[in-house]
Amino acid sequence: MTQVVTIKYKNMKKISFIVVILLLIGNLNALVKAQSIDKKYYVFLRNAKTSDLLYLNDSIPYLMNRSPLEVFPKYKNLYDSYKEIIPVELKFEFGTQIPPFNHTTYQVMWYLKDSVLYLSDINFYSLSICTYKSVFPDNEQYELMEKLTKVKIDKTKRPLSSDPFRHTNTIGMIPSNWSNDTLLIKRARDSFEDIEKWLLSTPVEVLVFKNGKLISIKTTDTY
Amino acid sequence: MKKLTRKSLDELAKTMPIVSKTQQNGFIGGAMYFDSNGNFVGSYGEGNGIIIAPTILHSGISFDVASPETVGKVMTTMARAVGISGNVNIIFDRGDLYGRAHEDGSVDFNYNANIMAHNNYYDFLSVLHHENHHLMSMEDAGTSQSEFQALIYEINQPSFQNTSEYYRSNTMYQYNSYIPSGYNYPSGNYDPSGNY
Repeated sequence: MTQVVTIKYKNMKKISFIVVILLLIGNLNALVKAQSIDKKYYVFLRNAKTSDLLYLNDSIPYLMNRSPLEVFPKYKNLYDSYKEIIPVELKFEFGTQIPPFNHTTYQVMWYLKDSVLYLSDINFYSLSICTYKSVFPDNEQYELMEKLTKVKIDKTKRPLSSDPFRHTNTIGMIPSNWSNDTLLIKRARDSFEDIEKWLLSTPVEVLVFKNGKLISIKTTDTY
Repeated sequence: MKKLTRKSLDELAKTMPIVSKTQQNGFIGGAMYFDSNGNFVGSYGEGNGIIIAPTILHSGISFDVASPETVGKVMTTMARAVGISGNVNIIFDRGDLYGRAHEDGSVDFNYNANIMAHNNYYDFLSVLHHENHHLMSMEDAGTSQSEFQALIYEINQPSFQNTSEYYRSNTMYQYNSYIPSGYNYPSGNYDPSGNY
C-alpha cells in the first residue's frame, strides 16, 4: 500500500513538473510571439496621440492617430472645473482602444455619416455609465463642447447607438465644420479577434477632411 | 507475452479506466476557494480557478457566476494581499476594460471583463498587481510611461506565468507596443523620436 502511494506521489510530482514546464513554455511563447512581429506593425499604435474613436458605421470603431479637437488649444482642460472629472489609469485589452495618456480625462466618439464628420459622444474615464448623469444632468458636457468649437449641436442628426457603454448621447451630434484635417485610422481590434492576425492584416487608412466633410479616403500599406 | 497492438481512441475508452473530473483536478487542476464574504478558505489541487464555497469540501459555484457583491469581496481580499489598501469597487463596463486605478487609492474591477469567463485566479491577481503599480506611482499618472511601467511590474510577478493564454497574450502584445525598439527592427531605421 505504501509503495503504491509512493509511486502515485512520484507520478504526481512528474506531472506537476511537466505542467510547470508547459506553463513556462507558454509564457515564453507569448513573449516571443509578441516580439517576433516586425515593429512596423506597431507603428500606428505607438504614434497614436488620442484615445478617441471613429465609427464609419454604427458598430465598427476605428482607432485614430489624433483628435479633430486638437485645433482647440484648451480642449483637454475643457472639463477641469468638474472635480469628478480626473485622469484615471485603465487596463484595456490590446488593440481595442488606445489607453488614455497625457492626462486625458475624456474620450470622444466620432461618427462619419453621409461623408460628414460628427462628434457623437463624450465619455469620461472617471465616471461610470451610472454616474455621469448625476454630474451632467442636462447634458452640460455637450454645451461646453459647443462653446469650445463654436458649432451648435444638430438635433436632427441621430447619434451612435450600438454600444450602450459608449453611446449615451440622445440629443444630436455636432458637425465638425472646423475640421480640415488628415486623419489616420485603423480598425480597432475586437476582443476575441486573433491578435496577430489583426496586427498583420489591418492597414492604416487615410481620411482627408475639408470643413468637416470627407474629401478622400485611401487604404495604405502601412500598419 | 501479450502482443502489443495499436487501438483507436474508442477502443481504448472501452477498456481503460475513466478518470473522473475530481481526480483530474487532483492531478492537474483545482481551485482557490473563497467563501461568500471573500475569505480565503483553502485551495484544492494546483488549479487556477476560483470557487465560492463555505469550505473546500463543498462543490460551490464558479467565480464567473458569483454575484457582484461576492466578486467585490473576493477581489478586496486579493487586493489586500497585493498591498492595495483602498476600496475595491465593482463596475459594469465593456468587456475589454479590466480595471481602473484612482488617485484616491481605490481600484475598480469590471464585473463584465472578458477575463471573468476564463475564471483564472492569476488573471485577476495580475490586474490587481497592475493597478497597484499605478497606485504606488501616482506621480506619473496619466502618462504612457506609467502604463508601460505597470505592465513591466505585473509581467515580472511570478504569478504572471499562471495567467490564462488569453490574458497573457493581451498583456504581452500591449507591453510590446510600448517598447521603443525591438528585436526585429533594423537599427538603421530606428528613430528614437518614434517617427519610423
